Amino acid sequence: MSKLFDYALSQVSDEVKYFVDNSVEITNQIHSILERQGKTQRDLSNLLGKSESEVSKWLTGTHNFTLKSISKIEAVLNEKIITTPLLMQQSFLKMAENAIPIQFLNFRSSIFFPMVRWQVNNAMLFEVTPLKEKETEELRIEKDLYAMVA
Amino acid sequence: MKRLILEKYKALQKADFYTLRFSDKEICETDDFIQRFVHDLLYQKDLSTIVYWLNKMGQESGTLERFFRPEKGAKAIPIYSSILRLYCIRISDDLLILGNGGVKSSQKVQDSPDAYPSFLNIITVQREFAKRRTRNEITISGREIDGNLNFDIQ
Repeated sequence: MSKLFDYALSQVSDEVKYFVDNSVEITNQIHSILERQGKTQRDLSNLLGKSESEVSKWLTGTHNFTLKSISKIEAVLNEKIITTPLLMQQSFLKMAENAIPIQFLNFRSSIFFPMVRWQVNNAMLFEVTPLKEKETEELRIEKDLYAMVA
Repeated sequence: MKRLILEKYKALQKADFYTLRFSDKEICETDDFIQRFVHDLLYQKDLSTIVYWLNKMGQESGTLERFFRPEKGAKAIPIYSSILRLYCIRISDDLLILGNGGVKSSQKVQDSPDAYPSFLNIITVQREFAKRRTRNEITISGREIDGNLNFDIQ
């Protein structure tokens, strides 16, 4: 097993990590949208007026996307590709404001807060399955430990 | 005539990497590639991108076809934004053979003296590997490659 590979990996800067992570996430997002919309890479290249080989290179990871090219892809696919933590937070808060608790499903333990099934615009946000006896006991111990530390 | 030996390089969560080593050398081809560029300020960033990207594939997604640049039967990474190339042979989503690479200083790899020998080696190994697989002289079971793993290079 290569120690040199591990050494080189340990030398990777945060900038490079962010670059690769961002590029791959954007690429994966575009692939996911294409799949959902029943489109191929060729369809996307036609919509963008680019050659298929160029678009194929874009969608392989480690491509240095510009905001212009991302916006163009968003426009032809009519969907957002990227978002920011702030936007996500805002949209979650907006969703939570409109949420209506409709049914109590379970209590995680007698001491803990009740888990609720929420429904927003008829879409299920989350649902909790009943806890097993062992899990309830683990939660009780966890809560006791927390109380001791606090 | 030189001999390249195929051997295991790295086992990660989603994929295992093999590499090639010349029988008369201690260091494998992929480590030779890393060693040549890891302290070179001009190429450090490109090498980091390749290493981090490989590790990410190995740990998270597997070695999907779309992540690689086709190179006459073999593959190369990265696709874009780098003048360094690392040549490889993609076997499946969880199996990748890494070779050596170099600086791609021209449009055609034939005109890049640093990268061309590694390119020729990987192409030769890829063709021979494919032949042996069809003849069952090389078999793949899970992430293990067995059989005749020695490749003679002119």
